Amino acid sequence: MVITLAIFYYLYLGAILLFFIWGLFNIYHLLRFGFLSWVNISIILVYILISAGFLLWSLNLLNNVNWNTVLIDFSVSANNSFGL
Amino acid sequence: MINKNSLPNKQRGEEIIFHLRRHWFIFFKIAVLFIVLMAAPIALYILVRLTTPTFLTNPTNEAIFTVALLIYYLAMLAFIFTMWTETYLDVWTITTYRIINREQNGLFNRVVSELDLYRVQDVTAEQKGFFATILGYGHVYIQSAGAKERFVFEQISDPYRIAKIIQQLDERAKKQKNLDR
Repeated sequence: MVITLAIFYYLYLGAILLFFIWGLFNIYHLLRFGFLSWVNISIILVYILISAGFLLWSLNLLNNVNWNTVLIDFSVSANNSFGL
Repeated sequence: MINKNSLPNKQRGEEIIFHLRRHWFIFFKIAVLFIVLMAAPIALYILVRLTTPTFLTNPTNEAIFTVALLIYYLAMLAFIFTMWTETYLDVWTITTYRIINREQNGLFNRVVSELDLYRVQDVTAEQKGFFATILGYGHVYIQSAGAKERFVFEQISDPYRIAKIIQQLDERAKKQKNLDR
């Protein structure tokens, strides 16, 4: 069994999911309790644009990484412990 | 979204005098904090490059550092947007009959309370601090005879003028209440 660098990629995907859910809560509050105004609508749109832009850029950046790089190889460790 | 001109449980003849929000400088401070928090990892990156230049030449280290940085930026973006939401959703509405206090304390804690103007006992305005004095913002404290004893308008523009207006509205409301008896 091996642990590869991909674990950090999944960690980042988990962070994106949390970020998305938290952002939805924020937008819900602004839509439900905020006044109908240009400021409110603009802030929501700016946030969505910045978030979407950042996420696309970050995923593009991470595409260049070799996620198959092995960090820990348990099979090698186990073989060594039996003196093989 | 709520229409600015709509009122919950509107009474006959009741009109909105104005809505109050925190002073623009409070939002400016959030923007400055945002810039500082976003720049901090760049400073850290430069520090790492200067102190241990070979650390980031290793592709594995670089990948882990990049992921950590991206997660940090996501967290800061969420944090700043939440701060904006909390600050922006604090609204105080003054009508001809009452004061409506709408406060967002955190993302899952919203308090809405009302005070009839004729129940106002004391109004105090306060400006404290260098920026508050220069830019003209502060708090207005309203002591009442209601269930919630004190309302606070936090970090609003021109607190002395607002306090005076509330006192005038309070006198008018009390006179009207006496006339109605």
